Amino acid sequence: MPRILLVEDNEFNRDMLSRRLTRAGYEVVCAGDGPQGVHMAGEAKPDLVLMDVALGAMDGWEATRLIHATTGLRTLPIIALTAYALESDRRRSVEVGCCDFDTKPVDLARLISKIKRHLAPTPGLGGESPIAS
Amino acid sequence: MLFNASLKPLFDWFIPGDLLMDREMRTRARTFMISHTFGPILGNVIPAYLLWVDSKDAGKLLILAGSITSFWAYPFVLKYTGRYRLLSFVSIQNLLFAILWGCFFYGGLTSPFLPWLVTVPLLAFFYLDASVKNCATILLQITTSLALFIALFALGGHFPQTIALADLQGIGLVSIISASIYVSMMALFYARILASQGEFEKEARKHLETAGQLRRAVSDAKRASAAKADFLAKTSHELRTPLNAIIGYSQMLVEDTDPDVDPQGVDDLKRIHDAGRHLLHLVNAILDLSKIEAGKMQVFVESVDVAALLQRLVDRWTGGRRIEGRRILLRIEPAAYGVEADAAKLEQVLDALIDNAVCHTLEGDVEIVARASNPPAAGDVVEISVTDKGPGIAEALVPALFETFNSRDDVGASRYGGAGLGLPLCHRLCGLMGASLSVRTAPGVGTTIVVALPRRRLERNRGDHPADNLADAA
Repeated sequence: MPRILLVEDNEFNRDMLSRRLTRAGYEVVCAGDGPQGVHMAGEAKPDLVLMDVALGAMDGWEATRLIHATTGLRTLPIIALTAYALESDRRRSVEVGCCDFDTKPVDLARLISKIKRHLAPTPGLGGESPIAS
Repeated sequence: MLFNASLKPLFDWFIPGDLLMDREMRTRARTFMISHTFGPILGNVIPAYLLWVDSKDAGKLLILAGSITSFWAYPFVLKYTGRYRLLSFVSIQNLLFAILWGCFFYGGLTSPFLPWLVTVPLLAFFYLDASVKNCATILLQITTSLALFIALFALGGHFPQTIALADLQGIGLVSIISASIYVSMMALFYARILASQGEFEKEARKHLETAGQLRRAVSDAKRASAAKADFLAKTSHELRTPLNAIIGYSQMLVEDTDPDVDPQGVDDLKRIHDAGRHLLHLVNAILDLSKIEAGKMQVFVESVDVAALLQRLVDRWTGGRRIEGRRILLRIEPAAYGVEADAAKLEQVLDALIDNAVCHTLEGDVEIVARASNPPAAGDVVEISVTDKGPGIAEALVPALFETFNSRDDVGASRYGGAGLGLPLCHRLCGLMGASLSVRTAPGVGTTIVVALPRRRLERNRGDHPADNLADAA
């Protein structure tokens, strides 16, 4: 079962998204802020991270950079989630190393299709096989 | 001041209207009025004194006093003829006559009347401007008069001693004093005019200050508007969080509830969910509008494939249950492929326009057509039109559709759903992208909304789009 780390500071959003993803067949671990997200990435060794961008003191982009730089998980796919579909947000996300970008409120079907795409086995990355697509 | 309060209106009554209209001429005419009012009073001091000293030859003195007193008639002549310039020359001549008459009969070259000659050029240039023509005329008047004076002296060989020179010694002082008072009075009046010009400048400065205050007020208002927009943006952002919870949890409950077991519950939950989405839609529109008003809306214009975008939108609409049996017909002309636009915002605009059309077509189809201007060189725009067969509205009400919170929001609300924010937002988004939005509508016929976008430039230069080239060649 692929493991997803959800970094989201809003309790409602964290609760909803984690439950819906669990129902869709993923194992979900949660973090409530940036530093905790970085810590959990190192501890739980997730297969993919869903990273809210607006997290307070340490934003999602900074957390993304730190996860890639400090935990040894250089190729860990991280999908940025923002409230607005701003082009500048999308570009910033790519710059800091996110593999994809989605907007909230989450369209679950769309998000899952993105998750599946980034969990697909890539030669040399050792990615886990995703749930049947 | 006395002059402003009582004399000015009195003087202005005598001055012809065309002179009053001109600032400089008005000033000169007022100087003319003041010298003709007070001049005779001061001038007549001398003949009066001479009459008192020696009354045996009163005839010459009466001519003198008469010529001095006649200045009082000039304002009335001015009032009824309006011939200011001519009257000024006549007045100068009158003055020359009075002075030289006095000199000739009362003391010759040592006459107490002589100092008054100083007032002649002074008054002349108070009355008239120093144009070549005026200077020449006045010089001619003075020289002719003096020549006549000397000629008369030469003919007689001496000046007639009307009064003994010894008796004139007293009048010398009086004459100089009255001439000095007169000249000083005119000089003071002239200074007052200069001062009033200073007042004029002061007033101009005051106006400049007012202009500065207005500019500051405008910038304050702009700041206030930006602060308001900022507040709206922040508030809208705060509203989204609980709204997302309502939408998300109601969605989860719908997914969890078995419609066979609790059909009413599923319907209720769906209503909560739909209402939440609708509210979110409005909050987003307010957020976008306030961002545009605050100048904070970012636009990224890039090449957009219109055909692919429209196809995706139509698929989304026909795939959902939202169109309920109505059809969306899509027609894309060959040349209408690439445009310059912000992809996300163009999608937002077109989605809103389709939403409008679907909402107002109770029966019949919604038609979407993308066409390039033909020939393409003429306008270089791609037009995307969305047509519904709805009730339409009167042409006169169209501008109100683009106003947010307009006075006729009944129009926007009834015709275009919700708070009437959709079309104003589309209009502004199009403006930001360099596109235009226009509406063709008539009651009972339907409505066509047209988005005109600039054509993709790169492709035309590179010529790598076969469809476009084909259309261009045609």
